[in-house]
Amino acid sequence: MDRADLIGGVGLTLFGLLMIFVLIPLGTEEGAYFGLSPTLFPTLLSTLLTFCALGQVAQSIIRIRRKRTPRSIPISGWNLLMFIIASVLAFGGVLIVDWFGILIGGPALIAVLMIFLGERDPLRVILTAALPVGVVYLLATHVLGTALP
Amino acid sequence: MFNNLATAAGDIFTPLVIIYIIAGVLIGYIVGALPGMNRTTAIAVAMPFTFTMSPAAALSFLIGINKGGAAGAAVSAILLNVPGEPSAVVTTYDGYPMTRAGKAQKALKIALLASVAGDVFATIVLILLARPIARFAIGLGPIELAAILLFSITFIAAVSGESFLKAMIAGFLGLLLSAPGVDIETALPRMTFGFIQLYDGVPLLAVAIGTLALSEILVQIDAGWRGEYRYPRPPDDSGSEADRRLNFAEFVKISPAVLRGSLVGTWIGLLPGLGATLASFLAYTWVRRSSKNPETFGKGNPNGVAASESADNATVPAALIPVFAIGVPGSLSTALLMGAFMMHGLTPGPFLFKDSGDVVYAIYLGMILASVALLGVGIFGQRIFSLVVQIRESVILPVIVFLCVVGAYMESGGMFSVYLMLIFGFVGYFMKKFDYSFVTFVVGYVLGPMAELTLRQSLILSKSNPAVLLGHPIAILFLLLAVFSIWRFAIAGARSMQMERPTSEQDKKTQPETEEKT
Repeated sequence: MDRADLIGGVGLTLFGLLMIFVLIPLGTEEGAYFGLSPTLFPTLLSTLLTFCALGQVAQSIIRIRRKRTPRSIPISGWNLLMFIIASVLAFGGVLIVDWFGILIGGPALIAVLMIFLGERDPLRVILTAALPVGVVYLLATHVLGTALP
Repeated sequence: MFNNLATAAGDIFTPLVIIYIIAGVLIGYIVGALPGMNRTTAIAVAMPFTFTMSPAAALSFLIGINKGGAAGAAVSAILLNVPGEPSAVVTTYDGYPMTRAGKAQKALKIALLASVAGDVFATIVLILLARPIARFAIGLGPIELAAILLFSITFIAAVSGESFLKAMIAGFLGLLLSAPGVDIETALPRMTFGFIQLYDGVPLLAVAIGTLALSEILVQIDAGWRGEYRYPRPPDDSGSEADRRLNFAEFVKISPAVLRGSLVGTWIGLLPGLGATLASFLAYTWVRRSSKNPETFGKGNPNGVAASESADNATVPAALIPVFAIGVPGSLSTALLMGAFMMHGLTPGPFLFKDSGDVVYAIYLGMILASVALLGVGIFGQRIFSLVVQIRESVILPVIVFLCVVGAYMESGGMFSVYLMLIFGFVGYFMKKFDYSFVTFVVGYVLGPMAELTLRQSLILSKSNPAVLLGHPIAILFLLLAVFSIWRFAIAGARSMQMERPTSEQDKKTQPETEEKT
């Protein structure tokens, strides 16, 4: 975990600096104001974030040098691969929902994820993909009166 | 008060609201019973469905999920030796041995009654304490409130994980996430990067559903994606009627344990960040130590189940006391509930009683009704919930991903929130894997606007002169408490943890975890 913490700390330090010097000034519109600047709060938080991240970097380096904690990897290559595939499938499902609506995208999203998770019974896939979408569609549009994509 | 109570009764005792409350408890119970699922996920996914409800009905529904989830977690703990939530770990110690001895139904009944008792006890404490504390808090100025917020976040960070720095980083990220939107003072767009959808801030549900629900699903998918059922079938009961039923004499025997659990759960629930896991662990330890037969604990002693479950459930209403009284959440579920308050136009805190007294009383009544519903749902649904724990993950997880998409869409009525929810799901996955505290992150995000407002007001009032603090003893007290909590829990705690590392898996299992781990 120490090496992961070190990488995380460096990344967060860079993120904090990016916030302070680029994103907050660029993302805040200029205008006439009195009192305190709108950038005060996010800049203060980003500064504190950067200091904490630097502290994490220092702590990780000290731990690695002393070798006080056993090395462990929080995410294995296999976990990462599964995460990426699941994320791509979820994103793909959302795109289908966006383009074709919930009645087509919803069952597609559920079915694809079920098959990815190892479900091979076609009847179970079809029923699980169709039933929740139908129930949610009826609930949202007819009971709650809200719109769905 | 009586006017408020009458209005509240009119709001709550309608067939539709009663159905909502029962549905909330039922959903919470089922989700709690499913191994790996937790009530926070259920609340996050259910929040968008409350848009059309009245504030009191919506909050009673969500609190019902919270209560049901806390009680339901015992089902898989007792039947499968797999806790539905980390707080139910202690229930497995005696619950599963009871199941192995053919007393599963009795253990479930004890867990249910203890849960309801703990819940009712803490609800009464909430009703008695919240208003007096709010009356006191109403006199606090922005400097005191800023100090209380600082203390809350540092205390939660100090007790919520192994690394204080990581927890603080998560807290600052959460606070930072509340910054985009139109500036409260100047009305200038800030960090919106041209997205009109961000003018009202980063959508609450996109953050909540993404980081709490979707990320959890992604973690579960990468861990057990093959779709094989991971848990064994629970053993059948002994067939003896005495092993199934819980008679009055047996209930009297466990009632001291229930009372102890309720006291511990209420006290721990009141304090920010400590969570239900620690409460159930402490209650169990207390009851075991005060028992004449401590050696029977861990081998199927009903008092162990009673202590753990009453403490777990007592934390649910108790954790709402700081939310109602000062507007500060101390856990993930209460942070979400506070978000739900705001979503429905209510501002939790000392003015809640003054501005929306009728709604508060309606929520109280809703909570009492939810306790009754918990008992009913538990009694009549016990055998069904025993089957629920057998549902395959390959069926549940995709359906929850679909509900996440629908939920994110319903908040804003556009796909922007859905894509944002996906991004937060991916971010949450890495936060979980790298052990960054979700509690401080979500609490920081929910408290962000209040923190900014009080900070600005404090700076303006004090003219940025720290000497002004000398005239605010309460603020000084909370600042000192913040420093003390960092020293006591973060620095000293880290040192002792390094000295006493657990050496085996069993040792790790018995380490009390905070609600962060949910």
